[in-house]
Amino acid sequence: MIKKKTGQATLELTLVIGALFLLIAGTVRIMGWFNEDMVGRQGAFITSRVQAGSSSPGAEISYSTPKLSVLGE
Amino acid sequence: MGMRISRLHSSKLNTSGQATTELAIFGFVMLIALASLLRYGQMMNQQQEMRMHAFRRALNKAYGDYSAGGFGGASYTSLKHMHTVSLFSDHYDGSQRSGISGGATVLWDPDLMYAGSGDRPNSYVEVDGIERNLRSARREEIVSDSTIYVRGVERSYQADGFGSTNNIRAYTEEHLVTRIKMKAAENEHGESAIAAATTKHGESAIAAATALSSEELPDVLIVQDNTFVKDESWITPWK
Repeated sequence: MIKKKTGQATLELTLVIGALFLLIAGTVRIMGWFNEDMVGRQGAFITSRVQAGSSSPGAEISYSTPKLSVLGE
Repeated sequence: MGMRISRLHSSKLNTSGQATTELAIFGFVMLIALASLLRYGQMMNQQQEMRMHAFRRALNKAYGDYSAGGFGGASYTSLKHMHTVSLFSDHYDGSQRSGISGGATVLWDPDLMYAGSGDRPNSYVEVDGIERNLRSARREEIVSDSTIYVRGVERSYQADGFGSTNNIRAYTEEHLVTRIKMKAAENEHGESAIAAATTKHGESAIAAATALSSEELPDVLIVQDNTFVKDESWITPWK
């Protein structure tokens, strides 16, 4: 007689779903960080664009990449 | 006989852990997809930085060429090797060294917008078959593949900033179409402040004009030869 194993797949899913969620959430967070970096850098470029086209362009833009915090601040 | 053997054989198969095994196999496919996504995001981020960096350098070189007399132009290409996310790296460390490049060309010509005969600029906008002459301020102008803006606004910023005599406001829509809303007034030195016009690309200058015509008519003041003309007739409603 074949012994049924009900709920086996669900049990295994509960074991891996945490790691899977962290993987996807981390990826989303990193992509959001890329976007935030691009927007912030573009703003700094725009505000310093007039000075860039002058005889004294000055140093590179005063912008620092925001710190990536995957699990929040 | 064959069916009896196969039935006995199938009853001995152990199916525990099958889901986990399948996840381990397809997990690799999922990791490739996520790594590709991260790599794409990183490449876009770095390319944007390189493109802006090249434009700034081209802008400075073109100004240097222009300041020597006449008009100036420069083309600048920047290439940088940096590590990017990769599952198939040579050293199995999850990163791969690849080159990211950006380029820009800047043309510096104060008379570019006035290449036509007489006092009219040689710049036109056609909206739904109706041709308009795009007037602009008679000042130094920096025209590039990324930006069209007026040099004189720098003096306005330095003299008055965004104070009571100058109220220049520009904003960008989410779909990368730059809309321009500007007001200009005379500053304390008796010069006309120059309204700033900024677009993403040279082509988007037309796109910006058409974007304006597709929305409700903005309060647009066009500065020309130290006079202020509130003119909305050239903006044709989008049909």
